[in-house]
Order: sequence, then C-alpha cells, then structure tokens
Amino acid sequence: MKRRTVLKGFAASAGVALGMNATYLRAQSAPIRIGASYALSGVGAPVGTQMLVGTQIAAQQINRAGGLLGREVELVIRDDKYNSAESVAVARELAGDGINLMLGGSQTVTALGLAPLAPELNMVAIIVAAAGMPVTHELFNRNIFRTTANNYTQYGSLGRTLIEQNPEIKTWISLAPDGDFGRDSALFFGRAVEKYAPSGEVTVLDTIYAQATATDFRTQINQLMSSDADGLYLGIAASAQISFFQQARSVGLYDKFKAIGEVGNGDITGKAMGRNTHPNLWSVCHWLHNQEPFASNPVSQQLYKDYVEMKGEDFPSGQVAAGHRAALALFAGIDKAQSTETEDVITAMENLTFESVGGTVRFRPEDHQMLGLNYYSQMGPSTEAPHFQFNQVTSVDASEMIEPANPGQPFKIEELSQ
Amino acid sequence: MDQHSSTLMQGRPAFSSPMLKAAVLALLFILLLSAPAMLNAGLLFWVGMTMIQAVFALSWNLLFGFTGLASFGHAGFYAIGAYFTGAALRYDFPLPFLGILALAGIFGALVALAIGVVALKRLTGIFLAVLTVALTEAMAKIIGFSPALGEQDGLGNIPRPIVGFGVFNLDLTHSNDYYRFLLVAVALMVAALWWVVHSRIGRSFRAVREDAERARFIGINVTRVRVLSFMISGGTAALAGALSAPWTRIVTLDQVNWLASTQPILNSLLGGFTSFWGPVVGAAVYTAINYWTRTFAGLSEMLVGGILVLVILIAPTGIVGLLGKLTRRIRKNGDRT
Repeated sequence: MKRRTVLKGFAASAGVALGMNATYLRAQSAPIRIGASYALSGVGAPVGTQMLVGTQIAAQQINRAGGLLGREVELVIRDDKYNSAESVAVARELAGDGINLMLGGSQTVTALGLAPLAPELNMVAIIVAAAGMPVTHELFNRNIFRTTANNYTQYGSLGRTLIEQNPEIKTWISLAPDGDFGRDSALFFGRAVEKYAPSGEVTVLDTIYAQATATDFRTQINQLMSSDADGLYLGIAASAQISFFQQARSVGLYDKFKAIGEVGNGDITGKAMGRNTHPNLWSVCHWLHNQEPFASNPVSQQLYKDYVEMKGEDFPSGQVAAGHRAALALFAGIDKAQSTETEDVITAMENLTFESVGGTVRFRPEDHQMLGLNYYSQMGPSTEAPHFQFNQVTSVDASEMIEPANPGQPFKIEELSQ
Repeated sequence: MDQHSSTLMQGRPAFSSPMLKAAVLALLFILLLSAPAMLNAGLLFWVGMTMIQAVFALSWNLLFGFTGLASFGHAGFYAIGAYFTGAALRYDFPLPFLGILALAGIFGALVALAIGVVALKRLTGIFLAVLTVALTEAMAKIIGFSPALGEQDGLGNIPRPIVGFGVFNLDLTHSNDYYRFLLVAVALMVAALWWVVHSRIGRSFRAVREDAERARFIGINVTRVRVLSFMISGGTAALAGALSAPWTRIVTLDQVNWLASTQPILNSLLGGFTSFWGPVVGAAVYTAINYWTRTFAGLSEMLVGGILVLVILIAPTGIVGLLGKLTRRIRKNGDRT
C-alpha cells in the first residue's frame, strides 16, 4: 500500500471521528425537548390551557436557573383536543420526533389513550391530572407517573374533611353526575364520612343522580329538600354546578344543608355566586396562592410571581399548579438521573422526592402514584368584592387515604377493609 | 335528465381513463405501503386513521350518495364494531382475529337490518335519521353503564392481535405490521364497495334514489333495496370501527356521539358525495388540515368549517366535483384552440 493511501486513510478516519464527536457534542448541548400535550381546544380547554401555563412557567424557571444537565429545556406543545385518539397521535408524533419525555393526560380520557403507549414508544409519560383509577391499576406500566391524587384518595379525603370539620352533621347525601365518575366519587365520599365520623353514628343516604350537563335541577332539589340529610356532597361540576346553586338557594336549600362539599369548582363557583355563595362550602383545592400553607411556600410564591409577570393577572387558577407540579416532577427526575434516557429517568423517579406548591411530594415506587398533602378549602360570602372569600384551607395526607398499591389489577373498593 | 343526475355527471372525477385510474390507485397503494419507512410514527398513525375514516365515510355515502337515504347516527355502527373488537381482544375471546372482524361486520349489518325493517317501511328519510340518532344515544347510555366496556372512561389497553393462518402466524403487535394489515383490509373493503356501487345492486340503489316510484314500477323491490343498502352501509361502518380498535388501542364514548356521526358526513360533503371517491378525498383533506394546523389550537376547526362553507357555496359537488369541472373547462378551452 502506498504511503499516500495510508495517510489519506488516517485523515479520513480522523475526519469521521471528529465529525462524530461534533455530532455527539452538539447532542449534549442541544436543548432537552419535552412534549407537553394538553387539551388546548374543545371542552377541556379551560383546564388544559391553565395547566400548560404552569408547565411553561416551570420550564422558564428551570432555564433561568441554568437549565437541566447544563442544557436548556424546550417544550414541544401539542393539543390533544380532550380526545383519546388525538392523545395517541400526539404521543406517536412526539416519539417519532425523537422525544422520549412528555407531560400529558390532563384528563382521564386522554390519559387512558396515552398510558398504554408509553412502553411501546419507550417514553416517560407524566400523567398530569387524570384521577381515574385505571391509570395506576389495570393500565399501569413502569413508564407512567401520576402527579395528582386519584379519585379514591381525593374524594375520600374530601369526605373525611367534611365530617371532621362538621361532626354535628349526622346525615349525609350526595348529588352526583350519572356516570362512573359520579358514582365512584359519591361512593368514596360516603365511605369516608362513615369511617371518620367522630361519634360513629352517621347515616349516608342513597345518592341522587343528575345529568352532568343538566341545567334544570328542580327534581333533584325536591328530593334533597325532602330527605333527612343536612350534609351534602355535590359531584356536579362546572356551569351545571352554578345552575344548581342558583336554583337551590331560592328554595331554602342553603338553610337545610349546614355543609356542602363540592367536586372542585372552587373559586369558579365563588365568583359566579358572589354574596350568594353557600356559607359553608368546601372544595377540592389545587392551589390558593394567598392562603396558608401556600402563602409561605417559596415554590408557590415564585410560581405566583412568575404567573403575574407572564399573564398580567392577579388571580391564577388552581390548575396552573397542576401543570407546574408535573413539570417539576419530570425535571427533578432528570436531574436526579443525570440523564434523559428513559430507563434512567424512570429509575430515578421511582424514589423521587421533590418540592411543589403544596409542599414535599414523592412517588410510591410500586404504582408510581404521587403522594403528598391534598388540600381542601372552605369558602363563604363576603361583604367586600369579589363578595366571596376563602376562610380556611385544610389538608389530608394522601398516604393515610390511599388504597394499597395493586398495579395491573382493577381497583375494587369492596376489597378494602372498612 | 334530472338535477341529481346532472350533478352526478359533473361530479365525475377528472381522470376518466380506466387505465389511468388503475395506475393512480396502484401508485397510491405502493406509496401507502411504503409509508412506515417514510413517515414518523405520529403521521403514520394519522394516515391509518384517515384510511379508516375514508371507509367510514364511504359507508355513509353508499347510503346517502347512492341510495338517497340519510343517517345522522352512523357512529353507532362504527362503535358496535370498535367496542366489540376492543372487548374481544382485551378479554381474549376464543376467536381468531379475522373471525372477530367478520362478526363485527355482521353485528353492524344485523342492527342495520333491525332498524331498517322498522324505519324503511315508512319509506321516508326522517324516520331513519331519527332512529339512527336514537341508536347512537342508546348505545352511549348502555356503554356508559357497562363496567366491562369501561363506562365513561373508555376501553383502553386493547392489545394488537396475532392472526393465525394455520401454517403460519401474522404478528400484528407492532404498529408498522398492523398498519400494513390495515392497508390491505381497507383496500379490499374499498374494492368491495366499488364493486357494489358499479354492480347490478348499485344500479338498483341509484334507481331507487332517482325515483322510488319509477323503480317500483319497473319491478324493483324498493324496501328490500333500501334495507340491503343500509345493511351493507352499517356492516361496513362497523368493520371500519373494528379495524380502528387495535390501531388506536382505546375506544371511548367520543366515538359514540352525534359529533362522531358528523365526521363521515363532513368528509363526504368535503370530498364530494356525488362521486365514489369523494369521501376518500374528503377524509384525506380533513386529516391534512388537521395535521398542518396541529400547533395552532382551535385553528383546524375554523379552517375545516370555513372550507366546508366555501365548498357548499362554490362547489356543492365537493373537491372531486370541482376538479372534474375544472378539467372539463380546460379540455374545452383546449379543443377550441
């Protein structure tokens, strides 16, 4: 072989090696691309858009602090349209673009499409706010992590809060939407009321059902008024709940029911009802920046500050915190793993503990369910604008209210000990 | 020639040579077959969904465009197939996958027969339209209270099948493999529908659509023809749903509501209900708009709505009809010069 040929060979090899090295270095300094799939249009948009804001603020915060693993975080935002087929398409598209880390499942219907795909796409999927039981039961796989309480924990804790805060109420009833969520949440609420009643003497009456989107509640209000109950769980959400309160108030339901626990409308109901808000209305609370313990939590305060800066508004929705918390979980996982590889991040997240707006949270390794404090707020009317106010926020530790981990198996409440 | 026949003539596609048509279809099939090697997983998923939606729209248009009957609850048939197949795979029914597909189609056809016998005897479209809507609503209620079908949450985690052919097995668990199976199945269904439309049965469908009285006068059993068309349509829609379940791996109540029933109508009107290929073109255009606007939340709905208004105002025979008109005009100008 000629000397020139040998030299050419060395030069070519060196060129290839340098080129590969440059590609490697570029990959190491390129942004970490994270998929963010929320319901940005359709009926889920009011919730999904708020969660996205929380995620965007989390990304902004981490980039301001120097990024992750020395790299900038870049969100690849997609609209799942509150539709399972869209959520499947989005996940596949993101995977096709080489993205292996994503936030999605802002509602159960989209989470159920996304969750089974994660192993096939070799993705880490953070289920942001879907509370449906199947996610960490029959649909569980190692690639998914849920950063919100499940329905059993959430509505069991609401029932516990209501009976502990109102021990004088001896008879409870539920009005819930006619569907599996309504039936389950009313059941979980009622079971917890029975279990945590201080005196042990409490009656939970049969649930009354209504259409989730009903506008006329006269029949149900009549049934409620003629019942013996003086405590109510209201599983009807969104604008239907406002209609219910407007119709219920005029027939004296506020006088009959001494306490009402509602599904999670929170300030939406307060703003709509104003001075006509029920005086002892309890809600599932995601975040109230100006109430303790959020007011003294540095993560919460920074989120509020950044929210005001980004949106120019003073009253963030509690859903912002859900999107923020989910993003923080993934960032903490990447940071702990010191890697963006799927398997490394999963391993790191299984025993991950991180700070959120509601304090320290962690994942249960067996079913990747997030555990921490769940909050419940009590509101009533006020003489000052906006004519309603939050009077107190209480918390229940999820680890006290959660079912035993049973990944891969359907959740059956009848199998739990009373 | 009445107005409808005249619009049908206008709606004839631009390429009328059979050889050219066959060549275009062969090229399209080859392109679709090689799609897994060319497209990313997300786009491939949408190509698969478009093929399913095209068959769904063809099934609706067989009824509307070729028999003159309107169904406003066609999603009910789609859901029969989707939920049956989803449950059969999820709960491991002791049936071969091809048997499951066949049963799904048969169930769809039988439900159509039951509705058809009740509604079509009255021979007016409104009865059929109302009954199909009622079918969809009733199905949504039943599914909503069926834990085995996932209630409101939907039936998720549907496994993809392995098809046994005795001497060998066809493993469809990987997306690309199921996509190829889907392509072949869709091609066969489109071919079968094309044959139906162009056969003696299809001619009797058209005769009934044009003038039921005249058709009866020349010896066509109008009720039977309408019921047959409805059964083929319902069975095909159920088969489209059946093919979708392992593709999306989840079936939800989103597929059993009035909005889902408008999808085949939208695709048929967009592409052109007077042409056999119109619904296929409509489904492809609809997906393309959705895909290109995916980063702009809410824009796709506005665009599709706007385009639909334009189509109805400017080209009531849809995109295929418009193309046909343009081609004829170009040819005419060419002949003059």
